[in-house]
Amino acid sequence: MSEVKEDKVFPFIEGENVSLCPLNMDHINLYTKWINAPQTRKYERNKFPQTVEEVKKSFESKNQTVKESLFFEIWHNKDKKPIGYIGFPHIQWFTRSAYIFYLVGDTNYWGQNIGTEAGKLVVNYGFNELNLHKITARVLSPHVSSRRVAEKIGFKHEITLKKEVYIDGEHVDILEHAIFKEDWLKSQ
Amino acid sequence: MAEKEKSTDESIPEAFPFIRGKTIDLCPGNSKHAKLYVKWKNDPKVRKYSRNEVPRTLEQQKKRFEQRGERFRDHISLDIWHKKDKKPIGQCGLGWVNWVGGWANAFLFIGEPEYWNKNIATEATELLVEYAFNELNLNKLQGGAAVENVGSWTVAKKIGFKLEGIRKHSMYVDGKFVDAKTNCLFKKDWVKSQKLKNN
Repeated sequence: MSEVKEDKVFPFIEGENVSLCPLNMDHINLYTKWINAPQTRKYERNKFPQTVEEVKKSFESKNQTVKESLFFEIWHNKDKKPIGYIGFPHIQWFTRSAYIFYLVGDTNYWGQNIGTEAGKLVVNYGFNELNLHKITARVLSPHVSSRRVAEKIGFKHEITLKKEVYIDGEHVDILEHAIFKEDWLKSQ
Repeated sequence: MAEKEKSTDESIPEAFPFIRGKTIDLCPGNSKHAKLYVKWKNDPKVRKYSRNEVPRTLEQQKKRFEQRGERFRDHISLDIWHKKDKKPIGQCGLGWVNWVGGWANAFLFIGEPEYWNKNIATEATELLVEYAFNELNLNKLQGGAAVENVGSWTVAKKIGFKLEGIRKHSMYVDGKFVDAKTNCLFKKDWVKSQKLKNN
């Protein structure tokens, strides 16, 4: 186990198995590992290698008063360690819409419903605290597990962008799934 | 604390593999290894054919890690990380990436001479070529090397690069002008060769 100082863990939203905490720059090496790892970056379109300094900068530069992007660390309550990150990479405040991004970087936790649980927490936060109107999830068509997460959270397919991105030697579709505040509130 | 960071603990990695190979991985550069990069770039044996004619200081090298983070780039550099020995032994990458024309210049060097002639450059180039064509969707790669730098263009040839031409007196090495070969590889030819390999 890595030495995670517990006094530096600040849960912002608490869930059953995971909590959402502010990003912690003590864990920058882990974030950098996930962002570069072939297994996790494949469908995230991280096509350039990124150094620790670059990853730090990409998280820090978004530290505006009105945030256009907002990320949380996914913290595993029982195992007491960060296992991924999640958030809104691009918030449009006038239309009150945002894209959602989720990544379980620690592959040991794949297939355990973590993405769905964290996704529900962040969607609820987006609608009930940030008063967003619409949240969109962009998923590459071959990325079945991510699509399942979107559907389990309650996102509905809205549009397919034909052969929009280039992955592993071929062009693939992007599927956009969306969820509206009113539908989310009804489902709760 | 610095001692702890050097632990073998998986969660505090020394390297961040970006592309995985058999004996090596390709990783983003790491400011922790700045001294090593400076050593390679100044080493007479290593820099002989690399056109590093002016000395590189540690401060210059460190600076390279500060002003970065642009979303798009025309220069991509990766460390060649030896998996068993757990250390970086060289660098490779794509320079002068021309996104409109769809081509780039591939470069590579092994900074630790003890790892020369061990097929590592070939493995690294294979990974780099696959990345350039299958991930970045480039159309053409170029590689240049002095005619007398047999090691370099032997690697290029093994992977399928074809001679495009010879530039006369394009480098100045050890007191004399030398000619340099330019080799190139097109995506369509590489895709064909990969299909043959897999059948």
